[in-house]
Amino acid sequence: MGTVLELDPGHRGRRRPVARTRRRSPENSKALKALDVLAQSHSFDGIQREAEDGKSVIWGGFSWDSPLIYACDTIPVGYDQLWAEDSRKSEAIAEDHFQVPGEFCSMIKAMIGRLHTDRDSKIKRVLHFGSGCEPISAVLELAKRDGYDIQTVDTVTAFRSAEKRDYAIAFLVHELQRIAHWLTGKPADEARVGEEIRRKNQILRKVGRTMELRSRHPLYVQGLATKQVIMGSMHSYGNPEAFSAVLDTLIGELEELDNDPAPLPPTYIPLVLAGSVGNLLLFQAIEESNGAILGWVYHGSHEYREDVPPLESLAHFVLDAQGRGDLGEAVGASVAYRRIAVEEEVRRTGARGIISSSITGCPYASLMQQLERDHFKQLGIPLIALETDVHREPPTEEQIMRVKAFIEMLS
Amino acid sequence: MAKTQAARTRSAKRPAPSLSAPLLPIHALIEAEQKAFIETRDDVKRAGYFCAYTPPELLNAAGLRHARLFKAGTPEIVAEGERFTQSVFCDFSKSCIGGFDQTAGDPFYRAVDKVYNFHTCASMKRASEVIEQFVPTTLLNLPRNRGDAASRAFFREEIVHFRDDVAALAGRPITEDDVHEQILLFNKARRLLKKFSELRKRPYPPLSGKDFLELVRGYYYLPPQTLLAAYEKLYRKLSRVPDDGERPVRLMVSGSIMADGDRRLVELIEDEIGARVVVEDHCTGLKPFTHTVRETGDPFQALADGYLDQAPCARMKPLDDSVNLTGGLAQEYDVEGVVYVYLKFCACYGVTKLEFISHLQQLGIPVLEISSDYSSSDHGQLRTRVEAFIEVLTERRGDRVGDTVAAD
Repeated sequence: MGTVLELDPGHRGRRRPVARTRRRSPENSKALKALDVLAQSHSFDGIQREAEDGKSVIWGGFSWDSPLIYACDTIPVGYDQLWAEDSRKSEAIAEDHFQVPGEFCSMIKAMIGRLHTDRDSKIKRVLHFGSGCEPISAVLELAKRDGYDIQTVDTVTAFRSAEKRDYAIAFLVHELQRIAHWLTGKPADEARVGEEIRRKNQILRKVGRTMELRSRHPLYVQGLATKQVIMGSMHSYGNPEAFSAVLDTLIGELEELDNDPAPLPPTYIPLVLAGSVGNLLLFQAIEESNGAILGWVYHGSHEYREDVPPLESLAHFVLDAQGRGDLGEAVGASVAYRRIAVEEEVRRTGARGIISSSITGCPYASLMQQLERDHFKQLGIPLIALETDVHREPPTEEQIMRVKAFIEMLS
Repeated sequence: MAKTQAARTRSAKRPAPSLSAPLLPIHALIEAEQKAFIETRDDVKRAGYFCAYTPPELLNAAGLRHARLFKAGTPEIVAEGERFTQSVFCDFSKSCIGGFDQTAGDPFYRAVDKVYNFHTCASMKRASEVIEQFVPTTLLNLPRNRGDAASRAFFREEIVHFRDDVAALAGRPITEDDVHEQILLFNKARRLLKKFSELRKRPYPPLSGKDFLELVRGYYYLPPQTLLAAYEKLYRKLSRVPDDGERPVRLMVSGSIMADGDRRLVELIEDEIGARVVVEDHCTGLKPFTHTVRETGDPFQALADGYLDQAPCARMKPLDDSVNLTGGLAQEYDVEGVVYVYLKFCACYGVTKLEFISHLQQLGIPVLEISSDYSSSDHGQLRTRVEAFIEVLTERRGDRVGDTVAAD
């Protein structure tokens, strides 16, 4: 490692050169490059190729249920790939061909539009959880017209923290067995599901460690890369071994930074981000405004239980997540509890403000944002609510100005 | 501007609808019951629920005062709800939240001791989570896969859980015999409502669409014993009305919930234009009365099966069940056109509207699609569209007569 000469501004006007170890930078990070390559490999075209090669691939099953899907020798693909490309065109198809009213969010419109465009592709199976977002449930019914085989894990929700009914667990186990039959024609191999749970738990522990370390080095693992880590925590980009290895490398790099005997003082405004960011270029706007996301309440890194039978473990996991307000509207999580996790992140990271982000037109997020606004107003913690769509155009001037003004106000 | 203000005031006061004369005593009974619900000082707990998938049999078995909470809020109440939801919820869910506001809300809602909500659409689930800030609320699961035996068994368990919660609220146990007795009682009411609706199959129906909505309103506000006594008498009267007069243009209204007080479309169709709504395919019209609950065996499984077997909401799976029911009802009631109306932001009926409309069109039934809310500002536009639709239907009727004559 080389050294650079730097002025020590704290030395009472006497300017003298200070030798400092060249720090790691994200541009030179092997881990971040590998993470990006892995994430890009999980592209729409890549996934289609795997399906054409004869692999079992489904849309969905990428979140709490992914251990079961992997145990059924199937690759679960995140719905987000449906709007990763050509999202404008897909949205137009939704509005024109399916006549989905304009007031609904860009996400569901891009989903149904893309499924329609690719109706002749090899991926014709979709797994869906009935407790989640109503518009997704509705558009998937429309997708049946294009020959998609839609399977719905029926609606089971723990409406309150720690409110889990035994018969709800049993019913979810039954539903998961039904899904195993759908994928393989036979009951779930519980031993395999158990292995997948242990493997995912290992990954979740690594993700947790990564998130903890990056909260001290937020400009090293920036917003976009952090989102890649979080998305990977759900589905591992179809390759758990590779993702696990990437995390090991990234943790190593972050630990090295953490062990720096003379760390630079932070120059950024610490923030907590609540929710997903549809328009990824908003990360850039935040970082260009000298903000840094130290804590991110989006998808948790809670582990699956290993002390109960594997399918029950999946059921406990999702019901616990709902009660914590974790995993979002994809699982029908409570809107009443996420603010608790946000508040914990603010306290843990010392953030000066909160960016609460949602997709325009999402009823779930808009309601939760309002509850959070009220809550943090009472606590005196500044919060800005942003709405974006899923398209990849630059954020609007208004959005950028709002982010910049918010961060400037915090500084 | 003055006109808008006047419309707001009119909407806020919600005057009694212009019902047919025989319906006025029913209207008076409902108003008296609502007044008692709010004002009577007694130890009887008040329970409210939002959705037609909630079995009131259990609330009645517990001896509670109970009512479905399905009012279309005034603009002020909608605005109170919107404070939480922003603009991206339907006006019905905003009304449900705003009704509980402790200052600007609806006294009827504020009288409720406990709210029960079987999780139907995600918006109402979210609304319930806010309402819980104002009043104790129990949320319950409602399966979507209505045909699956395991889903039905799960729903049975939720109904038993509901029974236990209701019994705790009432402070008394609810036995299987109690439930069985209530199933018989509510089935009688459901059958009677269906018979009322069937009177509308006549070429000149003795009751209007608005009259029928009032009868449904009574089902959700009146104790069944009161309802049966009053409705049986009314049925005898209406069934004796001669079936003569000019056959009106016959319409079905299909789609999202038509809340109590949301009468502007029906009034426009019937009072202003002179057509007739002869059947509704929504959850505050005929839909909940097309089926009854099994009267033998385990009463909790009977409730689970009975409510899942009722004409399905579009959130249930498969959607084809709902779509086919819509077409079937339109044909059964020999309608000449369908007004498909969905509340803005209603995912269940907004996102899927093309499925319903295409199916009806394949059956040769013209459809007018309307996106609605609880404001009155678009009355003129709405009137123009509905008038044009009914004109087309009237011309179509003339063409058909011409075709028949030519064929003869």
